Amino acid sequence: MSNDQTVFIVDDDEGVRDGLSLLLETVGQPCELYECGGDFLDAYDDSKRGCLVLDIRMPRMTGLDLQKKLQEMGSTLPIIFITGHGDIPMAVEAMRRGALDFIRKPFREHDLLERINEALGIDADAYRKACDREELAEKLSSLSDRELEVFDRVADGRMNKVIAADLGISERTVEVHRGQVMKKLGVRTLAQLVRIKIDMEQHAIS
Amino acid sequence: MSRTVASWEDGEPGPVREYALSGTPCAAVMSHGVQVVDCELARRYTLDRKSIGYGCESFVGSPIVDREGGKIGQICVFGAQPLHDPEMASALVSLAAVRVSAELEHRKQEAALLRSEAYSKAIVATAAEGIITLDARGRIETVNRAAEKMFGYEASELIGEDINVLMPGPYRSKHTGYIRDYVATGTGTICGAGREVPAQRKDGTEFPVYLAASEVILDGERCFAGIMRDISDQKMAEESRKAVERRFRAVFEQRHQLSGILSVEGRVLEANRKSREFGGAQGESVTGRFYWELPWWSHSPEMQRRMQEAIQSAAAGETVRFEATRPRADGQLATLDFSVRPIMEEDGEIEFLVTESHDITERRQAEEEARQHRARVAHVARLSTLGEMAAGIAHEINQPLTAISLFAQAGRRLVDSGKFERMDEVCHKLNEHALRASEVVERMQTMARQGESVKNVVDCNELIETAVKLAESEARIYDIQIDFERGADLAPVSVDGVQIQQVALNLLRNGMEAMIATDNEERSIAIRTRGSDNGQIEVSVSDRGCGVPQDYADKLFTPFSTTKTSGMGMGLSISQAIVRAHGGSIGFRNNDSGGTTFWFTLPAVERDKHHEQ
Repeated sequence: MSNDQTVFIVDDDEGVRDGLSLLLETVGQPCELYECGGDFLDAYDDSKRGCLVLDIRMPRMTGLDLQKKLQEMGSTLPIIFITGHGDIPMAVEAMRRGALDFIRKPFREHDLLERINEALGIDADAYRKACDREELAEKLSSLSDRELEVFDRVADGRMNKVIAADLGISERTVEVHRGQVMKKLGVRTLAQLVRIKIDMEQHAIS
Repeated sequence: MSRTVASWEDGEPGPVREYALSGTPCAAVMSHGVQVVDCELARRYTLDRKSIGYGCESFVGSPIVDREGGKIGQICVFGAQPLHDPEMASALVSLAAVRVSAELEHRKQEAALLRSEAYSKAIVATAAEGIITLDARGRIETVNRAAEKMFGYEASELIGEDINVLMPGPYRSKHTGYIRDYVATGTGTICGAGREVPAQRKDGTEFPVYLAASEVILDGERCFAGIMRDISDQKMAEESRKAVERRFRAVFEQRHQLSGILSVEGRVLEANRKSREFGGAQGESVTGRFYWELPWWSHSPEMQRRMQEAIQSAAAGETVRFEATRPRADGQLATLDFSVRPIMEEDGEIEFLVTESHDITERRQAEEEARQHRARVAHVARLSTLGEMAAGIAHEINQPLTAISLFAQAGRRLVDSGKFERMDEVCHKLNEHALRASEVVERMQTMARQGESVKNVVDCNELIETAVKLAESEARIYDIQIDFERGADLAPVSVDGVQIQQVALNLLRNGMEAMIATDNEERSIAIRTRGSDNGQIEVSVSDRGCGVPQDYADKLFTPFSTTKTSGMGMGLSISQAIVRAHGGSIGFRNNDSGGTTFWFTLPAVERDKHHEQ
C-alpha cells in the first residue's frame, strides 16, 4: 500500500463507502469518498495518483458514464468496478472499455485489497514510465538536428559507412555524432538506443 | 193576590176580580180542601167591604186538582141565604170541581199530543233516513222526503202501492210472504234489530239499505214503520277496505322477505308466512308475543338483547338496521339483513313498527368466496410482482450485506492490531446494516404473505411510505427518482394494508416502466396523498412517461390486457378489484405536461369512530 497514492471511492451507498473507508484505514491506505460521479469530477485533480473504486450502478451518473468522462479527459487512473447483483452485462461493458477488473459485492477483503494493490502498482508503474518518457524527451530535445539524424539511422541498425554516405559526411564525423548521442541520452549500448527509439515511436515522443 | 178565571153573579157572568186570598174562606179551601159554611159567614171570617163575599151568609168551596194531586185553583159559591142542605151543596160543588179538573187535564194532554205530532212530522220530513209506513197488508201509507230521494219516486206514486215495488225481483214474493205470515202467526223476524236488505230504485238499479222496521198497533190494526239508510257508499267503502285488506294479505303473506308488524311496545301484530316458517313449521302462534322473546332468537341471548334494543329505538322514532342471525329449518344459522322502522300517523305519533329481514346468507357466502378469491389472486399477483422485482430487491439486500462484510473484515483487522477502541463503532455499524437488510426482507415477506385479508385502521401515509421503499429498490436500478408528497393531516383509512400497498406499488411500477420506455432524461415519479372532499383519501401517482394511448384507455383495467412485453396484464385489473372492494374508485388522466396520473381513492374513517375502535 502506498501513502502517496489515494484510493478514490465512488459509491452511492453510504454503508458501503464507510465500510470500504474503514477497511482501507486499517491497512493504512488513504482514501477519499464520493457519493456520486459528479462530486468526484468536481474534486478531480489529474496530478493525484492512485486508483478508483467505482460502483457501477448509481443514480444520475453511472459508473460507466464516469469511466467514459475520465477517458475523455485523458485520465489513466486504474478503475476497479464494484457491482451488485445482476450487473454483469454492465461489468463486461466496463471491462471492454479498459477497466482493470470488477468485483462483486459483497467482497472478500483479500480480493479487494489485492485488486487495489494491483491497481496502485499499475498506477505507480505508469507514473514511473511517464516520468522516464519525460526525461527522455528532455534528452532528445538536447540533440542537434544532425545528431538526431544520426540517432534515427543508428537505431534503425544502419552501418556508420552507410549513414556517412546517406548524410554526405565522413564516417569519422558519424562516429563523433554517435558518441555525442550516446552521451546525451545516457546510454552505453546500441540495444539501449534501439529501445529508446521503440519507446519514442510507441508514445510519439519527439 | 188571586184572580177569578170565571164568575157568575146574580144570574149574570161577573167581572174578573182580583183579591187577597188570606183571611177568606177561599184560603181555607186551598189549605184544607172542601169548605162548607151554611150560615153566618161574617161570624166565621172577618170580611171587609173590599173582600170577596162581603155581606154573604153562606159559602161552599172545593179545590181543583191536577193529575198529580196539586191544587191548581178552586171553584166556590157565596150565598146570600143560609144553606138548606149543606151536604147537597158541598157534593154539587165538589162534583163541578172534579169535572173542571178532568177537563183541564184533557186539554193539557191534547196540547201535548198536538205538539208531539208536529215534532214527529218535522222529524220524519227532515230525517236523513228514509221512513216509510205500511198498513197491515204491506201497502205503503206514507213516504218521507229522504225515502223519495232514495228510491227516486214521488210520494204520490208510492202511496197505496205494495212495498214490493221497492224491492228487487227475487225478494218480492218472499217479502209479501213474510209480512203475511207475520200478521197471521205473529212469528218471524220482520221487526226488531236492523239488518241489511237489498232495495231497488225506480230506475231499476239495486242498492243495499240498512233497514230497521217496527210494528205499531193502531186501532187494533197492525201497521209497520221502516227506517232505512242507503248504505251503498258505506258498503262500497267496506268492500274496498276488504279488497285492500285482501291485497295487503296477499302481498304480505306471499313476500319472500321475512316481514312483521309490531305494536309500539314490540308485540307481534302480524308475521308473514315466510317469517313464521323460516325456521321450519312451528306450531305455536307468535301473535301477541314480544318480538324479542320469540323462539326465533332463542339461540342467542345477545341477539335477543339487540332485538329488544332495536325495537325500543324504533319505538322512539329511529330506524334500526343490522345483521341478525336466525336458525333455518336445517339448523344452520342464516344471516339476515334485519331492519325495524316506525310507521307514523299523520300527527307524528308512532302507530306501529315494521320489521323486515332479507336472508343474505348466500350473498354473504358469495361475497366471502369472492373476497377470498380476490385475496388469492392478489396474493399470486404480489408473488409475481416480487418475482419481477427480484433483481431490485436482491440489490437492496446486497448493499447492507456488503457493508456488513466490510465492517466485519475491518473489525477483525482492528482486533488483530489491538485497536479495540474502534470496535464499538464497528459493532454499531454492523447492527445498523443488519437491521437495514432485515427491513428489506421484512417488506418483501409482508408482500409475499398470504394471510387472511384483515382490515386495520391505519395512516395512509405510512402505507404509501412502505410501498415507495419497495418501489425504490427497482427505481435505483433504472435511475428513477420517486418523490413522495405526504398529504398533511389525513384521516385514517380502514384497509387491508398489504393490498393497498400492492395497488400503490403497481401504479409506481407501471409509472416506472412507462418512463423506461421513453428516453426522457428527467425520470421522476411523484406519488401524492391528500384528503379530498366527501371524506375520501386520494392517492395519485404521476409519471413523466409515454402516457396511455387513446385507443388503449378503455381496455386499461381489463384483465390480461397489456402493452408491456413482460407481465400478465393483471396489475390494474387486480388494483381495481382491490380498490373497489375497499369502497373506493380508481382511474387515470393524461397529464398536460406529458405522462399519466393514476389515482385511487379510499373512504376515510371518521376520527370519532376511529377512537371507538
